[in-house]
Amino acid sequence: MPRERYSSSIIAKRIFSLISGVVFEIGFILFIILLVLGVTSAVALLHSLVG
Amino acid sequence: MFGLRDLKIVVKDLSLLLILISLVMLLPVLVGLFYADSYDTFDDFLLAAALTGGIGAVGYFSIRHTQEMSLKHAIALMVLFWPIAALFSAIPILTTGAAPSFIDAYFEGMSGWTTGGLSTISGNVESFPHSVNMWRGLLQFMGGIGVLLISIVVLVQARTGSESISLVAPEFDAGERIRPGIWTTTKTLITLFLFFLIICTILFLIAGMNPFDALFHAMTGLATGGFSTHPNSIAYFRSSAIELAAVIVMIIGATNVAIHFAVLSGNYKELLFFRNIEVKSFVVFLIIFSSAGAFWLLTQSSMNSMDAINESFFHVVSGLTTTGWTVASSGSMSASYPSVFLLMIVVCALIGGHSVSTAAGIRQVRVALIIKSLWWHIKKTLLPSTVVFPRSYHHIVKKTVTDSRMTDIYIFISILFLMLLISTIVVMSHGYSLERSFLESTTSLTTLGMGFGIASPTAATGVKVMLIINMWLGRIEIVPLLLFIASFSRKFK
Repeated sequence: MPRERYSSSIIAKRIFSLISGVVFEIGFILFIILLVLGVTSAVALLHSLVG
Repeated sequence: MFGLRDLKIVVKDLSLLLILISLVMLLPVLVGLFYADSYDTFDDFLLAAALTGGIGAVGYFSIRHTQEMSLKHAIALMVLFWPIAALFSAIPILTTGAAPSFIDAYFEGMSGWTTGGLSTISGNVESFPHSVNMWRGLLQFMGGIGVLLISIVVLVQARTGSESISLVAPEFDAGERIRPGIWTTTKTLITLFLFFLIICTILFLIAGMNPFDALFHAMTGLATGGFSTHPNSIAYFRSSAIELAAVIVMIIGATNVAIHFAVLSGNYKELLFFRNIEVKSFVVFLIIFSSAGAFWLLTQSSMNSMDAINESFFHVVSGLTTTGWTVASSGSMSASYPSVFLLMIVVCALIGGHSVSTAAGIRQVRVALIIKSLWWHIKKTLLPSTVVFPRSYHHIVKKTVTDSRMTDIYIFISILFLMLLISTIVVMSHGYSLERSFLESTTSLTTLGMGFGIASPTAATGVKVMLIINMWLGRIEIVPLLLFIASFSRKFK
């Protein structure tokens, strides 16, 4: 069976897709971290106000 | 019934895996050469590689068969692989003197392969040669990839695993013939994990780790294993940037591979709108446990608000991803935190990470489905019997839950808790308190690996054996062992 050949533009597209995917994933995780830390800080603030 | 012909197929495959392990054993020698480790260490690794590779070669080339691998062979392979791989991997750990006895070396080998992270020798890791530490890191990295292959090949076929698999490896939907799918999936997974290994190593380097620590922690973090090159784990570094990088790496490791594939091929919607049931439940559990943990640290210890928030968040991520890294300032979890906080962390580990990830525990999709099924049960009870409502959820694609699927989940959880009870009783019978026995049993069974003071070189052999069995059963999710034992019965001809 002949080996599949990729043109340089397809490879460039794939690399761009990979890098943008990783950047998006890390960005999403950072957003989650901020969200969770925000809620946790609100609980801690509430505790200090009440306690 | 499982016969001699079936055993031959399994032994041949195990032998091939031993040959691969022996080749990976040569990598620590290269690392040791670079860091100028003692030549005695090289001899230990080369001898261990020769022994492992030799036995593998004898097994592989002496057995001839033409039979196709089927589900029962895959189950036998996954059940037997971990104890055998741990046995051969323990050889260099023992002969280099890193472990004081065979049982400690075997414990480390099993902890590495199962990505448990629990260690009886973690107190001395800073004195180990670089080659030995590299071997520990490689064990967890290989174990992490192995776990994913198992999730894909066996657990799904045996109906105990995830439902998202057809997107990762559609060839497995075809039926019983599974060997062609294994190689394609293995290549894809190794490529994905090597790609993430590079990304995570760069993250740790940017955060301020030295190159060896960065590579080591990227390997053990991606595998959600939790081994470290320092007895105090991530707390050693005393760096917020490294803690942030560690959190990102742990979450990447505990995320469903199907989600990684979706996002890396441009399908951002899977994450963007919290459609996926596991992404949703993971974030909800993070918020609930992180807030509760901070509250308990503020009310039951003398910690200031900032430390309480940071340490609660880090340990909840470490728990939910079943990694086991800690930032306890004193180095000891039991001495640093109140009991309720420790209990909360092991509850997080029981819930666990995503399905088809390197994390363990019950796993997010199962827990989320149980919560949903409770709601469906209430609806079914209160609404008129003529009303029909869909029992669906979004997990990569829209899916519907069947009663059979829910039964599988309940059986798995029942056996998991039964095993936890047995383990707690066994550890308690060696003189430990109920609290410590429960914590240590859970940390091993969920492959969390956070030490609560029992796993040490001085622990009784019975306790070490129990914890080794826990890590093994926690990794293979218990049910395959029962299927393997049942396959010897004449009833399953």
